[in-house]
Amino acid sequence: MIEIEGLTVQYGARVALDDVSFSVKGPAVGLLGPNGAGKTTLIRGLLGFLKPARGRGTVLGNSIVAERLKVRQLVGYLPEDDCLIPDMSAVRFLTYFGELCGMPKTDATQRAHEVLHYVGLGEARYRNVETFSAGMKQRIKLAQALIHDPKLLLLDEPTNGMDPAGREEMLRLIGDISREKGIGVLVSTHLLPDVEAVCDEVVVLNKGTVAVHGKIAELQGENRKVYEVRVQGNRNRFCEILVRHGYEWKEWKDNMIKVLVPENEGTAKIFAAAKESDNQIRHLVFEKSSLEQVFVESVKDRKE
Amino acid sequence: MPVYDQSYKHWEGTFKSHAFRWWVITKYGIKTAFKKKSLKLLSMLAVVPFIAFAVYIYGLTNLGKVAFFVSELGGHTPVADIAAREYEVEVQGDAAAFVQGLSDEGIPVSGQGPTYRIALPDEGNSKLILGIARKTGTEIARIVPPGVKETFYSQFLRVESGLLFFILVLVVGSGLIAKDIKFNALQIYLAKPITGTDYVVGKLGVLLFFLLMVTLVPGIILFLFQAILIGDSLYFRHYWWVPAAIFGYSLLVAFSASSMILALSALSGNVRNAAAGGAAVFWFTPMVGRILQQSTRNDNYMLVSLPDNWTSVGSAIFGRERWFDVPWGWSLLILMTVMLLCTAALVRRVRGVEVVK
Repeated sequence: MIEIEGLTVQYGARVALDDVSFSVKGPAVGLLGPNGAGKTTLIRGLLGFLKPARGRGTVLGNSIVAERLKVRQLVGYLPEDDCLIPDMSAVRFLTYFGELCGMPKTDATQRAHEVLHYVGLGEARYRNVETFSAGMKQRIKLAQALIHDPKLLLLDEPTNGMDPAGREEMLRLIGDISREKGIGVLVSTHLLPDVEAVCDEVVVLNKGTVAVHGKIAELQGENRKVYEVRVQGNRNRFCEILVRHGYEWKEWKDNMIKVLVPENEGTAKIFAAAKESDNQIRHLVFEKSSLEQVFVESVKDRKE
Repeated sequence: MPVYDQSYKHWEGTFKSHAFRWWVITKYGIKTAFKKKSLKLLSMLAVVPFIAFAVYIYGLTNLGKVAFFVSELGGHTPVADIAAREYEVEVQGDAAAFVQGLSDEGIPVSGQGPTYRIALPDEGNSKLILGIARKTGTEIARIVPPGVKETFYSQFLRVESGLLFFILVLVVGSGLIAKDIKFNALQIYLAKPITGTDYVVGKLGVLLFFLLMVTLVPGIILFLFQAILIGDSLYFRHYWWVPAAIFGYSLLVAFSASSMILALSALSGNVRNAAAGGAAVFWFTPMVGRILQQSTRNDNYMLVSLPDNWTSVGSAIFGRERWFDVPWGWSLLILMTVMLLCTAALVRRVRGVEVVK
């Protein structure tokens, strides 16, 4: 779906993306990162808005530099900002952009009605877009991204400014688009639950570089269990024995560590390590690793 | 009754070629502009000069008829009054036979030779004069058809590219790009399969449509109207370059005004500021030019005025006297430079993302 190799984008002297490389197949990919990580820059780079200083990239097999128009023909883009054309009804707005994509007027008009129904704006389709609420504006932006039946959607903060019900509905739509309609989706957001809800793959950006990339299930440790452990005694010795048993561990808050245990194993080796290192186990809680932890840790690692 | 499936459906059609995507922007821009009441009013007002000039042409033709009618009653034809049917003929050699031939046909003729002014009746045209010349063995060196001359069209276009034209430029043009910048629409436009050039050409098309509708179109219609009233193919042959001049002048004026207001619209990102900038160029620069010219007695200062540069080039195109004492080439050079700078500003500003370095 998207292949990036050594992509570097600069705003003057400031490097916004630094040697970014990844390849994602989809169908739904989350682009996570704190503010200023380079998510929006990456999307704009994929659309050909920004000229890379170095590196190359392809979207659906088309170069993001040499074949920008082909990329844009195949891609729908939902920008982060409020974007509209005043004095235009929703139907006219979509028909206009359909025609701009090269659709015949009758087809664009018919599809405008269909897409507006799909995104839940069927009843408001003759209203001028500037009168829409924040949630409706997000929906109309999704509709304009879908108008030409793209093969891939680039969604920049799609649930921005939406109330909980609207957000849930938007995520349902994105999930439906990627799972049922066969359209690839790249969701850029800083809201981890959004990514967890609709994506099966994630790229975490931090300070313009790729911090983590992988399948969400793997990152969350689907084939490993995580235990929060606090021991009293010689903690270093306890950790050494854990490693000897083939377990990974990480520092956690309040003098605790996180121990990653293979799916088919229990806590026996943790207790054995404690006994061997002459430690008392004071805290032992099973915890499935959430994407949030992966995100926080990856970002923290980079900061350090 | 089956329930219509309102879920997402894939589109099976074929996309049109990329070549005319700009036309979509122009088409929607024109439709949107016509929603403005002020524009409807301006369009109606812009027709007034056209009607006035058309009535003038029609009146001249009918003056001829009136004159003939009077001449038949009074036995005298005031040739000077028959402007619309008056041919100017220059003969070579002895013209006495030719003049006699005309008189035998009852055609009024005036002048001392070798140039004569010949007033034909309504149904007559140059063929009648040439027939008499052939019959009398006279060689015609030059024959000028009747009707208004090229200066008339120059005057008409000056009127049409005046106050209403400027207001039209400001009303239509100032918001064309500024609104898209204000409402962040540029990134949606350019995320579609169109280039920045398509976008600019599309917006330019909106302005050119309105500006050419008040310059080129009425100019050509007036020319054709005059030709029909004259009813002589000689008119086309003699004034073949007038439509080309109307076309050239209208395009020059419309292009330079459009590119300037679009650049202001893109650079300011604000409708009011763009309109104020445009108004300053259209009204302030002629004032400054005039004041400097008057105070220094140096015509070079008139080059700062955009409208005066139009008139200067227009005078050259229509073969009139110089508008001010500076070669028209300088005015053309300035207009071309303005258009080039405006294009550069548009290329710089029309981007999917604003890069602040």
